[in-house]
Amino acid sequence: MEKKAAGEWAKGVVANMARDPKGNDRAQIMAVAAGEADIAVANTYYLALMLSGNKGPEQQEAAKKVKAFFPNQNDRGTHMNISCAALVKGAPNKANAIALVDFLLSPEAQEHFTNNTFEFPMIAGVSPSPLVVNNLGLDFKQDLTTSVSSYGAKQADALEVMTAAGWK
Amino acid sequence: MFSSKFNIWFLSSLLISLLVIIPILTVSLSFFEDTSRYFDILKKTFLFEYIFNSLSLLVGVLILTFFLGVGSAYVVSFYKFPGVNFFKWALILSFAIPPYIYAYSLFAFFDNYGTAFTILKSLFGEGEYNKSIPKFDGMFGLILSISFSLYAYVYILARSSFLYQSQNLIDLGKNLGFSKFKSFYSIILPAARPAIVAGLSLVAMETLAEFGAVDFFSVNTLTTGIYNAWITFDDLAFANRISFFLLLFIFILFLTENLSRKKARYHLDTKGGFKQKEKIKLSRTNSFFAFLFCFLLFFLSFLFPLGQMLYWTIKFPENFFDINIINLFLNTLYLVVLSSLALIIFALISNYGNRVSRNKTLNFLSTLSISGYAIPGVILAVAFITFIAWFDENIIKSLGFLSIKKLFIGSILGLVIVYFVRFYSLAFNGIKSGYEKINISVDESAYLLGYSKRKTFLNIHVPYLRNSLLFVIILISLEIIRELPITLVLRPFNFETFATTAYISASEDMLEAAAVPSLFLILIAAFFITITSNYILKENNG
Repeated sequence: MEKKAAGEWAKGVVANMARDPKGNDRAQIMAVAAGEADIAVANTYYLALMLSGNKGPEQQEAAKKVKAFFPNQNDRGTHMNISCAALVKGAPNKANAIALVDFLLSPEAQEHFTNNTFEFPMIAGVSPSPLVVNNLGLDFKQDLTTSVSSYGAKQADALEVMTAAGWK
Repeated sequence: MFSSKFNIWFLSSLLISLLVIIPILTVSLSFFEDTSRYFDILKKTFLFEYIFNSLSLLVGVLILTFFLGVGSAYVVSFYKFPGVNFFKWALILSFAIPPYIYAYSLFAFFDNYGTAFTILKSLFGEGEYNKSIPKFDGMFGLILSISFSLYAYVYILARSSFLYQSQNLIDLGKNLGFSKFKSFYSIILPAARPAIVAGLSLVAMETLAEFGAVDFFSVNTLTTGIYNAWITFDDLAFANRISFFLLLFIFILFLTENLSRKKARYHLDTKGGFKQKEKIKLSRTNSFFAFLFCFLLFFLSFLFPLGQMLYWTIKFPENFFDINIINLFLNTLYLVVLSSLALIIFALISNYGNRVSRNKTLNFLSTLSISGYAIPGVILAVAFITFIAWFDENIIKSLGFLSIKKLFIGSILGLVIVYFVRFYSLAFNGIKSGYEKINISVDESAYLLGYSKRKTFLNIHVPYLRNSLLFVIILISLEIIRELPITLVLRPFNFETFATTAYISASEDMLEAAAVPSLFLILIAAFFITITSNYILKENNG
């Protein structure tokens, strides 16, 4: 039943596409800036990357023409992608691996992440890059009801639904 | 009867033939295995599209490479105009640009806020240029990328055929009062047909096997279908079933080419009747057009992608320090050395065997063993993984041995084995053409002087073959440095080449960072092409 509803939704999205899917995140943002489409789905940190000017003045200019929008605010909130570290079962150097993950979660490492990749921090006490705070804002609701572990379990179904809907 | 045939030549040819047969068998046997539900879903949705796209791509590329390759070969072989000696050589530099780097360049230049936008903005100031800049992507961009990268196959073969066309043939056209176009159309072109068809069929194989550019432009073809079935659907049997359709395509292509060749007979009149052709001097206007055509082709096929990658390397210099170029170079060199060694040793043994034994079975095996080049890299890699996994599970483990998977999958050994299958024909044919120049009487004289077979081989054949061996090594280097799908699938963890680094940057939305490895790849490949250009163009060795 859920799958059927998702299938209908996927078909609707495909029917509304402004062009055949092509390019990565920044290409979507630039297509919106160039007026090819009204909205696009992209990771927010690419918008911040473009705003930073690290990818040239043209992309900075394009990013200024686009605004971030966080959907689903009246419901469970916006989905957020996670960048995660995991330990392989039976890993030979367990202690060192855990030490590495601990380091990655230290304020020092997290600040490096937020200021260079423009992603959101994983720990309290570290602020996102000013570019993110000032341009995207932090005033949005994050989806905390859907458990991360369900992503993998539902991936096969999701692919099936999208393929059947003709999503390229 | 068998014992006399069963020697080292036989064994080595048999071994390589087996290596070629394994992927074909693995692919065919996938129909007896279970696949996930995706195969049924795909059959209803995209399978037809995969096939249709592969076919459209093939037709588009063949038409464009025909015009570019034959056109440039004709102009360069028959006419005298400023720069002709330069273009004759410069037009093969396009080989240094793999289709995927061409695709990156097209995208970088023409997409929204790309290089074209920057140029227009700096010329005319602020403006909404994005909408008026044409977009060369999707199927059309793909056809351009592959054609500009591969037309040189047709150019080289057509040119060498034109060069050896006798002056008499051209005089015949004149005597019959034919116009230039009619001479070309009804005399020159038909006489060069076998060479052109051979060039086009090489282009066709490469087009059907192309992965990087197809993936970059998100055109769903059979090749990307195979890769996605494996990567996203995690379904090897399904990947192998798609491979089967692609192999079927290639097989039909093979047959068509063979049949078309057999129907016609051609005479290469080199004795007596051969008169060195005199190049025709063109009028001023025509000279200008000939020059313009060659220059545009050289510009579009080589200078444009080189320039775009160079521009990005300079514009984003931080990327230059992010990758370890020396490391990538050493990795590539390592693969080249190992593969060349293996390929040359086996190709020498097989060729020597063919020369001294003239056994029909051996000849057949040799033919079979070189057909691995026709199997696309993606298929070879995925079938190799499937086979090793099966062999490990059903044979090794049931015999109680330790798993051998790690030895072959994600290892240099596995990578070199699959390169071997794909590039064996290069080594075999390269050495074969070298051998054909050593008259058999040389061997007989050696035997008369009391040389053993081994001594004849080591002291006479190998020194004679030195140039051929060098040429083979460079060809292998060129292939390996540009190779993408096999390396991508089978490389060890954290082991990168220029090609995989460029690919990964491009697929992770860091296209600017792909410029540095691409630039180095182009420069190294161009260097190899330059030092062997005489050999490739067959200037000195008729």
